[in-house]
Amino acid sequence: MVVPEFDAIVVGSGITGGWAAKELTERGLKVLMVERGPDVKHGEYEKEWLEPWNLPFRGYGDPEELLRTKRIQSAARLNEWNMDYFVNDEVDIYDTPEESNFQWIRGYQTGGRSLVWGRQTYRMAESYFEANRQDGHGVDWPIRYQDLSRWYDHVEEFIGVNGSVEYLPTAPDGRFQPTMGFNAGEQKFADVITANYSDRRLIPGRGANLTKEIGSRAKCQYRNWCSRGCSFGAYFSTQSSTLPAAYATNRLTLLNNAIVEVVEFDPMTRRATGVRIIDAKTGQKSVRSARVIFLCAGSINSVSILLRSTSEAMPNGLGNSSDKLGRYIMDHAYRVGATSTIPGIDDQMYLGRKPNQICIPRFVNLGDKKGNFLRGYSYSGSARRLNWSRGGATAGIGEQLKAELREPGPWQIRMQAAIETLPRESNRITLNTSKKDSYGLPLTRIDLRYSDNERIAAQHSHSELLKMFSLLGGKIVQSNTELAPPGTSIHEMGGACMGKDPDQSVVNAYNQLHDASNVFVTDGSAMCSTGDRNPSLTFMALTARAAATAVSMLQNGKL
Amino acid sequence: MFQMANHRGGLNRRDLLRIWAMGAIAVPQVGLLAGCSDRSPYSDAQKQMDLLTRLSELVLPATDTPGAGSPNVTKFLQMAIGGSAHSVHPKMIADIGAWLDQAGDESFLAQSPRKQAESLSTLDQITFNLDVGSSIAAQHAWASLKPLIVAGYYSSEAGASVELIYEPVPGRFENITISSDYIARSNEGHGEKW
Repeated sequence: MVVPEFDAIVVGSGITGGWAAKELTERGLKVLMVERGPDVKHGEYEKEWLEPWNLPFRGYGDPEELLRTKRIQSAARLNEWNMDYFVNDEVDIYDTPEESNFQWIRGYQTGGRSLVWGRQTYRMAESYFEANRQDGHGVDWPIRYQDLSRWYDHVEEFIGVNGSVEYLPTAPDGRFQPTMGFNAGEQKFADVITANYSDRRLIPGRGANLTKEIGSRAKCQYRNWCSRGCSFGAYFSTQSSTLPAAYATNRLTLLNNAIVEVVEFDPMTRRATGVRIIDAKTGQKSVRSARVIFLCAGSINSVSILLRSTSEAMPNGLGNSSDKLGRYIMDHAYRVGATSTIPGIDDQMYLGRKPNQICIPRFVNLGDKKGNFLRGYSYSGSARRLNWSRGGATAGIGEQLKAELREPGPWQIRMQAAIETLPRESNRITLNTSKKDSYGLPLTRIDLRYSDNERIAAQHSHSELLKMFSLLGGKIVQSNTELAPPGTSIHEMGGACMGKDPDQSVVNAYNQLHDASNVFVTDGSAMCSTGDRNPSLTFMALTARAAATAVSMLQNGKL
Repeated sequence: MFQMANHRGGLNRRDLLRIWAMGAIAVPQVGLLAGCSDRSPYSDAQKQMDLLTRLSELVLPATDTPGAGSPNVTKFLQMAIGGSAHSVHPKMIADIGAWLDQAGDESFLAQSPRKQAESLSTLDQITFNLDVGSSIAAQHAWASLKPLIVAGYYSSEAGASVELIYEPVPGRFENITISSDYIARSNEGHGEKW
C-alpha cells in the first residue's frame, strides 16, 4: 500500500482553505495547501502605499486593459490598487447562457478573495436553517444553528469581528470586538427608523476589521484601503490570520501555481487518494496523495473539480451518484436600492475612513406576518459626504469651485437590498465538454436564474426603503429596481449541498461527500440555503467544524 | 495671474435656454464639422492639448495652490482620452472647442481670458444646470470631460496633497463638528469611477 505523502490536502487558499489548513495543522496533521494562483505574501502588497499620482493611471486603471481583461471582474470594487487580485477575464474563461448572464468574480492567488472581500461578517439566523423544510424549496439542512454556534464563537474570536449586541433574531449576536458605530448620517437614519418602526432597526455592520489588536495584528487604521492588502493585518485574510497560524505548526506546505484537475478516487476503498495537479506555468501534471481531501476552492471551482473527477465508478463526477452535484446553486440578488440626501446635519463630518457598512436585518415574513413572496431580504449600505469628485458632476468653474471642493459635500446615504434566492434544482453548474480553457479543462458552465420570488421581494424591498428614506426629509438622487445579474453579489453558494439523504444531497452533516467519506467540501458549495446576509462566517464555521470532525475520525480509525 | 470668479456670466435661466436652443438648432452643422477630422480646427494634437490645458486651468485655476492647467493634469487627460474603452474621445474635444469658438465668435484660444471664462461657464451651466438633456454634442462632451479634469487634478500631487489634505493613515474614526479651518481630505475619491 502506498503511504500518502500528506495527511490532508486542502484545495484552495482563500477564506475556507486558510481555515482548513489552520485547523488541520493545529490538530496535528501534515497538510499540503494547493493554490492555483501565485503567492502573495503578507506585508508585500505591492501597491498598498502608492499614492494615486505615482500610479500609471492615477488609481483608475488603464481603460483598455480593464475592458479587455476585467470586463466581468469590474462588477467588483475594482481599482488600480487591487485589480491584480482579480482574474484575467481573457484567460480564465467560463460559460454561462444568456438567460443567466452569471458574473463570476474571483481572484486566483494565495488568499483568494479573502484579500479583497467586503469583510461583512454575520451569523446565519436560527430560523433560516428551517427555511427549506418549511417552504419545501431545496434540501432540508441536516444541521441547525445549535450545531454551529460554538464554531461561530471559535471563528469570531480568532479572526476578530467588530459589532454591536442587538438581540435581533435575524442577526444573531456574536463574540464581538467594539463596534465601529455610525457616522452622523447613519445615526440620523437609525434614529428616524427607531422613532417610526417597531419591527426593524438600523445597526452598525459586523465586520472583520479589528478594533482591538489580536496578537501581532494591529487595530484598523481607518484607511479603507483593505482590498490593496493591509500590512497592519487589521482585517481578516488568509495572509494576515490563518496562514501564519498554520505555518507556526511547521506542518504546512503551500504549493502555488497548481491547478487541481481532479480528485483521484479508488473504487475499491471508495476513498479519494489524492489530487491530480496541472502546473499553471508549465502544464506538467503530477499527483499528490493524502488521507483526506478538503475542497475549499470556492463553490464553483470545488463543484467543477468534482464534476471533472469522473471514473468508471463515478461516471457523472465524484460525489454525484445522486445527480445533485452542481444543482441548487444560489447567491444573493443584489443592487436594488436607492440613495437619499440627508438634510440638517451639514455641520457634521467624520475623520478617518470607516471600512464598514450599516445593516437593516430582515424584518419581513417573520412569525405570522407573511407577504406575497417567500423568505426575505436585508439591507446594507453606508452614509458619507460627497467628496471632491462631485465637482465633475455639478455646475461651477473657477476659484469658487475650488473653494467649494475644500469643504465636504452634501450628506448622502445609499442602501441596497440583499435578497435570498430560493434553492432551485434547475439552477446548476455543469461542464461544457465541447469547449476547453487554456489548461485543457472543460469550461465550467454556470446557469443561475432568478425567479418571480426574487423579483417580487426586490420590489417590496425598494418600496420599503423609499418609505424609510422619506423620513429623512431629503431627496432621492438614485434609485434602482432592477436586479443585477447573478454573481454580482460574489456570494455564490450551493452545488454540493448538505443533506441527510444521499439520494438528495452531495455532502452529509459534516461536509463529507456521501460517496467518499474522506473528501470534505466546506466552502459555499455545501450551503443548502443562503439567508440574506454575507455568508463567509458560516463557511468558516463549517470548515472549522469539518476539520475537527476529520481529525477526530482519523484518530478513531473511522477514516 | 488672472483671478477668476465662478462665472455664470450674469445669465439667467431664460438666457441659458435661449443659448441652448440656438446651439441645438444652429450647431449640429458645427458638430458635423467637428466630427470631420480633417476640417476641425481641433484635429491637431497640439491644439487639442492647448485647449485641454486652458479648459483645465479655467475649471480649477491656480490660487494659493497650483491649478489644474499643469503638465501633470494634461498628461493624465492625454492618457484618459482615447478610443472605445474611454469615456472621452478626441472628437468630443473637438466638439467642445467648436462650440466655444462659436460662443465667443472667434477661436477660443484667441479669446481674452474673461471671454474664455464666460464661454466655458455658459457651456458648463447649460450642461449641468438645465434639465434639457444633452442634445448638443458639446454638452454631452463637457459632461464627460469635466469629471476627467477634476479627477486629473485631485489625483495629482498638487491637488491631492497641497490643495487638499492627503491622509494615508488616519489612525482612528471620529465624528466631528466642522470647524472653520477644516480642509477636505482627498483620499475618499481616489480610484472611484470619475
